[in-house]
Order: sequence, then structure tokens, then C-alpha cells
Amino acid sequence: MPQLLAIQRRAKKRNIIIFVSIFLLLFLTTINLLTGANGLDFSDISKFLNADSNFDLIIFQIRLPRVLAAVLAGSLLGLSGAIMQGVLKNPLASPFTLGISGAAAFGASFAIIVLGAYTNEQSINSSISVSLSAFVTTLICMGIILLLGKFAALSPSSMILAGVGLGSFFHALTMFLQYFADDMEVSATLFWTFGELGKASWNEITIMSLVLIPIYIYFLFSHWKMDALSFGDDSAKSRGVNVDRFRMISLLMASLLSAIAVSFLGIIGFVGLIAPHVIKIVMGNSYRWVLTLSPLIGAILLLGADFLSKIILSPIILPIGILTSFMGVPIFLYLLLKRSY
Amino acid sequence: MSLIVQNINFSLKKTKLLDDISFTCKAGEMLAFIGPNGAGKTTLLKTITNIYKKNSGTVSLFDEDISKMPFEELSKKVAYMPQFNEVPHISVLEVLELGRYTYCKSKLSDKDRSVLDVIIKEFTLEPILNTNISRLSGGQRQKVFLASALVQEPKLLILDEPISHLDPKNQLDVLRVVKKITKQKNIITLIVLHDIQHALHYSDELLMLKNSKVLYQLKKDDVKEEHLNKVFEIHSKLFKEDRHTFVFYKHSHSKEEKGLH
Repeated sequence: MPQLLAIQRRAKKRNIIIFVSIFLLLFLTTINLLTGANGLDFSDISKFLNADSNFDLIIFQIRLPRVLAAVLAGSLLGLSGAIMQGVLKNPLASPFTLGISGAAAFGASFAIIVLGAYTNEQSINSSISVSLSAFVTTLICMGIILLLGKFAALSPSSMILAGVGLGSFFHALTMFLQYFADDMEVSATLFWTFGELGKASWNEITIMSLVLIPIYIYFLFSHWKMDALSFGDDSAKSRGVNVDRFRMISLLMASLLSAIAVSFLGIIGFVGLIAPHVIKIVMGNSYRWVLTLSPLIGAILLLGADFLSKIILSPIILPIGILTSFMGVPIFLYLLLKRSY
Repeated sequence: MSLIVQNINFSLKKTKLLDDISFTCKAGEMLAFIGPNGAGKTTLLKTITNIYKKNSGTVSLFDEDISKMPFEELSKKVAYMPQFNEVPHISVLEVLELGRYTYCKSKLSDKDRSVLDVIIKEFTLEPILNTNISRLSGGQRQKVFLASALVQEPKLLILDEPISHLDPKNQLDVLRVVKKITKQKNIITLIVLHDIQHALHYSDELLMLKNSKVLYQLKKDDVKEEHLNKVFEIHSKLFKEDRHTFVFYKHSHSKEEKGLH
């Protein structure tokens, strides 16, 4: 079979990358479980083996949810970025290109300033109302862009521009609210925008998993449609892709993925942008691998950032959103300079 | 007739882009579309492939009405190679595989692989299967696109200016392959060509379009100078020699240009 050699070479490369990625994921998971506010401590291993009940509490109630939140949020954002870059055919597309961060920040500010979450003692489920409000505004933002795309027949690049415009609009709305808010409320909204893994409890982790898994499976089976799209809409249609429907479904799913991550954890930048590019550089631009492996790379990036956030200024744990942007910019510039495609 | 296109009308923002177009084509034959820029050749191809929704008209392929068929079904019968393909950074094998997903949806079966094998051998693509398509020369790239259209096992192959960016040798190579496959697989090929000489040599019939209308559908041996002159508004001369037809154009000079000579 003439294809055999090519398929074997491709499989070998893919297996090496998957093996290295899984090793890194497990390594960083372990390191993060051993790292607390006081930095990396290997004596934790003996405490864990001796079934120290206090230590078990720390692991299962604090560190494990945090690690899982990093893995899930990284996967959600990585997959969301890969989908957006594919359907919008733009290498700079990411969960935040379509105005999602601006919309989420407005939703959170609205809950905190107008609905009085956090500062209002009556509101017992304040974090839920903030997340819900951020989630709803994110979906409204995406809904507007999708409706414009469908009924005004916007091209992918016009959709990105619409997203940038809407992002600025929501940013202005947030500033408007902040102008009339008191100091406490302003600091609460500002603090919310720093992405923070510690916000996640087991409930959030369950919801994030339930959103991620079915969408991931859907794209495992429809990766080829994304590749067909990369030749242009006409070409994709002639290969059997209902382009308009696929683009809408994909953007809806990508928005849901990032909306969930952002509304639970705050704004975590650059992961969604970089994760797909890492795969594109090592494996090529075939969306079979970009969609399959971007979540894994997203998880690794976020675990790495979480580890650094705990050790850089120990015992202070920096918000992860700051770290991903710090790490993201140099990695991104490096990738841009290195990219040979 | 294996392909019957009847009374296709298509307008965009009140501008009529196709005006009552009808034509037919037999299996195993190549029909070349010729006509000046803006005549409606590409638009016609896109309405046949349902990329543009026609206002009226029918397309029957081997006695089956395909004029409203969804893309998923249509792609098993019709393969379309657009005039401009974006070139992503994926390997040649991955490009070829794309043509089979319409049949298998997620994982290629042994049958899909064997279809690929035949095409790979036919186009001698084996040495470049793992090469990134963006690194290939224009000629090689067009061959890969053509191969990936054939992987769909179409009954109707539609090619929009497949040779316009190629050097003469690659132009002839691609046209020879298209002609051979059309006969061998007994399919119908619609091809847009700007080179009238190529159209007269390789196709069986010519469909001449002008101002959104069909002016003539003629067998290649019936094409006369007056037909070309009317379609392109030029002064042409046809010379036949040894089964080849040569086309010459008479150059007219403006007064200013004449002054320079």
C-alpha cells in the first residue's frame, strides 16, 4: 500500500508527541499536588503515604480541585481556541477575540455592582450569581455575533471585527458601572477579572467536565470538516460539508467552552491562543491533531502556569491570569519567530 | 444524455448573472466552458454544485435530479475544484484523505484506502505524500487538488480554470490526465478554459457563454471563426493541421499605436 509508509511516519510522530504530552501532564499534576502556598515540599509524599488526615484534607479539598480546575480550564480554552482558529480561519482567533473577556467582565461587574453580590450580605450564593451573570453576558455577546454571522452573512474576518467591537462596547459598559461603584465593589470586580483557579470547587469541576467531554467527542469525529474548511468555503461544500451550519455549531460550542471557563475562573488569557499553535508547529496544521491535542497542551500550559504562580512569590499565590499573560507573550513571540510554515 | 441542465436562472441583488442557461453532456465526454471574463462561467459551475442557490432550473445527472441535493449527498456524485483554492499547511496524504470523509465520516475504511491507493499510483504522488502541500510547486499542487477531487469518485467532475497558473508542460500534463480519466471512468467533465486551443484539442464539445447567456454549444469540429469572433469580440483565424487546430488572433492597433510604428 503506497500510503503505508507515510501513515507509519505520521503515527510515529504523533505517538511521540502524545507520550511526551501525557508525561508532562502527569509530572506537572504531581508537582502541583506537592506544591502549596509554601512552595514545593517533597516531604508531602511521606505525609500522603502515612495517611495524615489533615494533609488528606488539604490534598482533596484544596490542591486536587485546583489541579483539576487547571486541567479542565486549560482543555476548555485550548479546544475553544482551536475551534475558533479553524472555523474563523484566522491564526489570531482565540476565545477572547470575539469579545468574550469584555462580556464576561461586564457580567461579573453587573452582578457585583448592580446586584450587590459579594458586598451584599443577603446574597449567600454570591459567587454563583457572579458566574451566572458572566456566563449569560458572554452568551449574549456570542449570540449577537452568531446572529450577525447568520443573518447579515458576515465573513469570518468580519465576525472577528464584530467581536473586537463588542468587546470594546462591554468594556465601556464595565467602566461605566465602575465609575458609579464604591471602592469595595471596584476592587471586587477587578479581583474577579484576575483568573483564579482557587475559585473552583467540585461542583464547578463537574460542570466543566460535563461541558468539555461531549464537545470534545463531537470534534473528534468532525475534525475533517475543519480541514475541508481550510481550503475555502466552496471547496468544503464540494467535499460534503454544510459550511454555514458547521460554522454556527462550532462557534456556539467554542463559546460555551470558553464561557464556562471564564465565568467560573475569571479571565485566563493566551492559553486558547497558544495551545493550538503549539500543535500546529510540531504536528502541522491538520485539524485532526490540532483539535485532538490542543486541550492536552492547554492543560499542560495552565498546570505549568499554576506551578509558577505558587513558587514565584511564595507564600503569595499569584492569580493565574497574570501568569498566563506573562508567560504567554514571550512564548507567543517565540512561536511566531520560529514558525516555518 | 447523462447531464441535462435546463433553464437555470440566477440573480444576485437584482443583477441577472445567469439567464436561462440550458445544455447537455454525455458520459465519457469533456465539455469546455469558454467565454470572456464575467460571462458567468464560474457562477454557472457554482449553481450546478448548489453553492449558489439558483432561482429556477433543474440539473439532472444520470436521471437523478441533483438541483436541491444537500452537500453531504452531492459530494458523492459531484466533485468541484474551484478556481482559487486556499492552501493550508497540511500534508498531501491529508489532502487526499479529505475526499473520502464524505463516505466514511470519521475513520477511513480499507475500501477508502484502496481508492486512495489507485489515485496515488495514477498521479505518482507516493514520494510526496508526507510533504506539506504549501511547499509544492503550482503544477504539483494542482495535480494534488485534482487527485483529491477524483478520490470522491464523482460522476461529474467540475474544474474551474485548473491550468491558469501553470507552465505549458504542466498545462498539457493536467489536461491529458483529465481527458484520460474522463474516458476511462466514463464520467462527465465540465472544465473552464481560457485557452481556446486547449479547449479545441482536449474537450469534446464547447459551451460558449457571453453576458450570462449560452451563445453556442458546439462539437469541437464544428467551431468556426465567426463563433469565436462573436463570443470574444476579436478577429481570430483557425488553422487545422494533422488533427490539431491552431488559433491565431489578429491584432488591431489604435491610431496612436499605429503612429509609433
